[in-house]
Amino acid sequence: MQVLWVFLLALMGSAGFGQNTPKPIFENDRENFSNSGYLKLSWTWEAKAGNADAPIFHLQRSQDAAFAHAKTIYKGPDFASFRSGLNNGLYYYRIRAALPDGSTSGWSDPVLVEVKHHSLALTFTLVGLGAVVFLLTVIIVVQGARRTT
Amino acid sequence: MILLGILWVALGVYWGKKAKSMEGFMLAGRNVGLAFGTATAMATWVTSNTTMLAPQFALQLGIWGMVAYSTAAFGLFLFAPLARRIKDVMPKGYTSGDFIRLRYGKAAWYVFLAISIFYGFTWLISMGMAGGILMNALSGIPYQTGMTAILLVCVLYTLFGGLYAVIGTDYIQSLIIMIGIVIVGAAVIYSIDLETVYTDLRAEKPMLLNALMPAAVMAIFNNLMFGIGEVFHSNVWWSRAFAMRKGVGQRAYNLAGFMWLPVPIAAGFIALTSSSMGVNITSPDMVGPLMAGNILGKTGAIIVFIVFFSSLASSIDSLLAATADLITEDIYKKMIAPNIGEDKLRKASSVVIVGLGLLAWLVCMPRIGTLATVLFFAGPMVASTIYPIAMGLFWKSANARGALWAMLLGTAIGLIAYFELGWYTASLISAAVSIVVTTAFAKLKPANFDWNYLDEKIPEKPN
Amino acid sequence: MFFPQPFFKILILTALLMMSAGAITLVGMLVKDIQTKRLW
Repeated sequence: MQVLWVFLLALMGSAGFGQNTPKPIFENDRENFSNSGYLKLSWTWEAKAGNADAPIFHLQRSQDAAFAHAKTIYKGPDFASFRSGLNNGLYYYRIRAALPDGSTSGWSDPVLVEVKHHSLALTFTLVGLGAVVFLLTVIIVVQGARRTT
Repeated sequence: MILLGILWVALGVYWGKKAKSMEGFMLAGRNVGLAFGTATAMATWVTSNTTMLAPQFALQLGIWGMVAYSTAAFGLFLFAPLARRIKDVMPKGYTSGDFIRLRYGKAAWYVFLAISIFYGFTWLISMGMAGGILMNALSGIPYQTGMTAILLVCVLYTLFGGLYAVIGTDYIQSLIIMIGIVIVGAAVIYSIDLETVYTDLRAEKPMLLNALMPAAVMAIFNNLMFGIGEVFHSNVWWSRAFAMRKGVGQRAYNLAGFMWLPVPIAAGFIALTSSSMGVNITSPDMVGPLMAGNILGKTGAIIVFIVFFSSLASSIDSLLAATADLITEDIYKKMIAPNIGEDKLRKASSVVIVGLGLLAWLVCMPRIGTLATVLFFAGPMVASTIYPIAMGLFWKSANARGALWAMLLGTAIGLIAYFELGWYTASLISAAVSIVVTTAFAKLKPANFDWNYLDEKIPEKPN
Repeated sequence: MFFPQPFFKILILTALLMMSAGAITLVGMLVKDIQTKRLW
């Protein structure tokens, strides 16, 4: 008898309440690339019919695909989070919804963000070009102004 | 907001009484002094873009992002000698279009007008939309109502008071902007320790503090050239150069540059406190108002609201007036009705202001988010005009074909860079192309321009 | 290579100070222009 109860409870636990809270779904692609270290994560979530409670989202980031060292970077009701200032590297994000009654959804499918900043060679080429163009502009204006007064 | 709106319109009507002639209406009597001259240049350059985009730059590109934004002040510094030169060679001029037409003839003029009006109009729309979005975010007024109100107020006072009203209100608005930003900034520093902010950034958003963040470092000179292009070509700045009293222009633009320089940093750093304050940013373009409201509560929201309203109004009015002048003077008077009397021209000018306002309102109505990004296309377009303008004012040898090809090639190649490399390279590439083309034509096929043409002392040369 | 912490602080404080100075200068210029009747 006791065994049956445990079995029933386990069944309710997995299919009945907890897991039945729908998972949020990322609107981003599964794999994303950024060469400037910022991007906007956004997600959608549909409430179960008849449940009007607003969820609290838990957004986690990890540098490994298994989320062994995951860090919760946002907890709140928003449907998006803008991330910036990321170093070069791979970042995995996953999200779940928690309802006021204590139930939580499972983790969403993760998204991967690869951050690879522009090369310093390209950067310095453009800075060099910029410095030259700017300097010439200053010379044109200052010299022109001197000559004409 | 209603109070501010009524104040601006009332001042417009009051100053409008001074604007009896067309010169008074378009150029405020050409006798504006140092205080008003400085304030109008500074306030106009503080747009919704400064107060909204500077925090966004800080959030995306970090410290270099704010500094990169500040370099736009060089647009004002470098325009200062130009303002003096413009007043010298064209004491009776009206618009930047006048200059291009007299200096380079019709073909370059058409291209220039297309660039200039595209830029002016997209800027106007982006601010109308920004106004609506901000009002909505800060006070819950529906987008359409807020956007309509701000456009209506600006159209009304520009219509009644012309450039007198624009410049007069700019003075009050620039004081409001400066004091408001200082209050908000000081309150933020008071409520959160900058050292904590720094430590949190190091841990959470390290690239923002990195002195070698590639995208941010690239943005420095790009933003600089964008700023120079905007100021050099736009009739907003030319009409102010014409309007200021002789001897005032250069000093006014230099002072305005110094007053503007700190604004992006003072307004932008608030965005960097978001990690420390535990505030989630859902949309980077709203980070400024969001953080100010979060840190300062209701009082903060009201101050921010007034500052934004002022910075929007001070630029919308200027754009309305200057773009309307360009259309009235360059298109209507010079292309359609050359012998028109002053009364009729004034009427035409009013029709154009209302028409522009109405058109901007119609485009803003559906709130298409992607429209704002169109403004960034203007970067390479305006940067390509820098050298046709600067060399055209100082070098006799600069010539029409150089100017035409500089604008066309600069824009085209700049737009390619925009899509291939990123928006933070487009203006710089365009400026680089433009300087090479303009110089090459001036050296290989030098013209020998007679400056007297600019003052229309000698009848126009057939081109 | 990171911007040092003092730089971060000084940059922001300088910006705020410059803006205060700017506002005061602007008022001063207006007073002077009104006194000398050279407003416009």
